[in-house]
Amino acid sequence: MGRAATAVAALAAAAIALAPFLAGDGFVYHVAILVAIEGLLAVSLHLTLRIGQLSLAQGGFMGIGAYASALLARDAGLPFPLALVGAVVIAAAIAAALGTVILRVRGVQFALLTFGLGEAIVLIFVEFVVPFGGNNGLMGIPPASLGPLSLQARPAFYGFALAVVFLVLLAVRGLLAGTPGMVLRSLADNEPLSRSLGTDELAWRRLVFAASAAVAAISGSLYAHYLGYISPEAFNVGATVKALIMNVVGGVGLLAGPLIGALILVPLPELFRASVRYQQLLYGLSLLALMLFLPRGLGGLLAGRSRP
Amino acid sequence: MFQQFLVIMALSAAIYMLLALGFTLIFGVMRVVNFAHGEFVMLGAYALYVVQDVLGVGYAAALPLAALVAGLVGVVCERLVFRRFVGDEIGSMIVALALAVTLKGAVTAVFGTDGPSIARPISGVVTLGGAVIPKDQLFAAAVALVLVALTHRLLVATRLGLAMRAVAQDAEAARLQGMRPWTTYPAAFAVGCALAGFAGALTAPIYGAAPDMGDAALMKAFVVVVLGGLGSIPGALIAALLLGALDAGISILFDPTLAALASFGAVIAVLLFRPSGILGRA
Repeated sequence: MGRAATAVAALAAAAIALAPFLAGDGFVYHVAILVAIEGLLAVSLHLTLRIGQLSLAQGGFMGIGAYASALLARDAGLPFPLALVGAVVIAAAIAAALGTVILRVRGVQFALLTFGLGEAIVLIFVEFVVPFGGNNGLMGIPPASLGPLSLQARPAFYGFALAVVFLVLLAVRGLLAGTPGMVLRSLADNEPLSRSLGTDELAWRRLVFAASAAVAAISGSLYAHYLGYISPEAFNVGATVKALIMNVVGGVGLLAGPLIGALILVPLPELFRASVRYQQLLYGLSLLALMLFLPRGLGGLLAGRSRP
Repeated sequence: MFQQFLVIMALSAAIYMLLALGFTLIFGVMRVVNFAHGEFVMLGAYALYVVQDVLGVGYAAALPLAALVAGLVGVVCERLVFRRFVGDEIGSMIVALALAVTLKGAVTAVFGTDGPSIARPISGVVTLGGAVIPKDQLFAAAVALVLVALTHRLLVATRLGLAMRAVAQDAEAARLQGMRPWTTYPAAFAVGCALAGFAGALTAPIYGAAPDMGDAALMKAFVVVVLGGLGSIPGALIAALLLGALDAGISILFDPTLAALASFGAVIAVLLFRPSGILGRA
C-alpha cells in the first residue's frame, strides 16, 4: 500500500471506530462492544496462524481469562484492572507451560490436539462446580471500573474496549515487526537454516503462543465484566471456529484481517434477525464462496497485490 | 452392574466404530480432516426421517436409502469443495468447518431448529445373563458391526479398496502405478460419508435428530480416530472398544462429563506421546 492509501485506510478505521459515539444509540454501542471483544479473540487466533499452527483452543483461553477475571474480581475482591491483568498472566502462564509440550506437535495433529484441549477446558468448567459454577456458570460479576471511573455505561465501556483493542494491535504489531517476527519469518522461509544458526524455534513459537493466549484472556475478561454473567458453552470450540471464520473473511495474511472479519460478521446475526431460519445457511454459503474464490479474504482485496 | 457395563460398552463401541471408520478412511486416503463428518451423520438421520416418516417407506429400505443420500452429498462436496484443498492441511480443515456450518444451516432452513419426531420401528428389550438390552440398540450395534466388516472386505478384497489403500500409503507412487486419485478420492468420500449416514440413520430412531447432533458425533469420531491413529482402520476399531469401556465405566461410576473429560485427556496424551496413535503410522 502506498502512503496515501495507508492514510485513507487509517482514516476509515478511525471513522468506523468512532461511529458508535456519533450514532449514540445503546444498541449500536452493544454491537460495537461485541465487535471489539470477538475481534480480540480473532486477533489471538491470528497470532497462532502466524506461527503456522491452527489452534482450536483459543476459545478455551478466552474462557480461562473470563473465569479468572470474574473470580478474582468477585470472590477475591480485586479491582477490575488488577483482575484483568491477573487473568492475562494466568492464561499466558498456562499457555507457556502447555506450549513447551504441545507446540512440538505440528500440522493436523496440532489442530486436533488443541481441539481436544479446548473441549477439555470447557469440560473442566462444567465438571468442577466449585469454583466454576458448573453448567450454570458464574453470575454477579462486578462491572468494570477504572478506580473511581465507572465503565458500567455502554459508551464508557466501548471507549475502554476501543483503547484496549488499539493497544493490543500496537503490541501485536510490535511483536510481529520486531525480533520475534523476524525469527518467525526466517523459520517460515527456511527452518533448518534458521535453526542451524542457533535459533531456539520452540522458545519463539512459545512466546507467540503465550501472547495469543494473553490476547484471548483480555477478550474473555472484557466479556465477563461487560455481560456480568458467563457460562462454559460460550468458550467452546464453536467460539474458536467463529474467530477462525473472521480471519478467513478478513484475510489471514493481514493483521487488520481479523478485525475486518469481526466488523462484518458480528453485526450480521443482528441484521438477519428476521430470517433467523436462513441465517446460518447464508453464512455458511458465503463462507464457502469466500474460501473457494477469494482465499485472501476481503482484507486481501483491499491490500491489492502487495504482500502483507 | 458389571454385565450392564459390558452391554453399554459393546453397544456404544459398535456405533463409535461406524462413526470413526468413515472419518479415518477419508483422512487416510485424502489427508483431509473432515470436520463436517458429524454433519453427514446428521444428514443420514434427517434423510431417514424424510424417507421413513414423510414418504412412508419401511425402515429396512429407508436405512440404506438414507446412507445413500449422505454418500451422494459427500461425493458432491468432494468434487466441489475438498478437491481444491488436497495437500493444504490448514485450508482443508477450515473449508471443512465452513461446510459444516453450511450443511447445518441448510437442514435448519428446511426443517427448523427443533428435531422432527421419528417413529421407532423396533421396541422391547431382551435380557441376557442379567443384563437388559434394548432391542433397537442391539439392532443398531449389529448393523454397525456388519457394515464395519463389509467395509473391511471392500478395502482388502476389491480393486477399488486396493487402490484406496495404495493412495493412502503413498499417493505419488500409486499415481505412478496408474491409479487415479481423482477416482479414489470420490470413492473414499462416498464410502466415508455413507458410513456416517448409516450411523445417523441407525441412531435417529433411538436418540432423535437435531441440526446440531453432528457435534457430538464428530467428538466421538475424533476421539476414536486420534486414539487409534489417524488413517488407521484397525487402530480405530481397538480405540472404539477402549472409548466404549472408558465412557461406560466412568459414566456409571461418576458422571458423563468426567467421562468426556477423560476421553479428551487420553486424546491429548496420545497426541503428545504417541502422535501416530495406538496403531497409526507416523
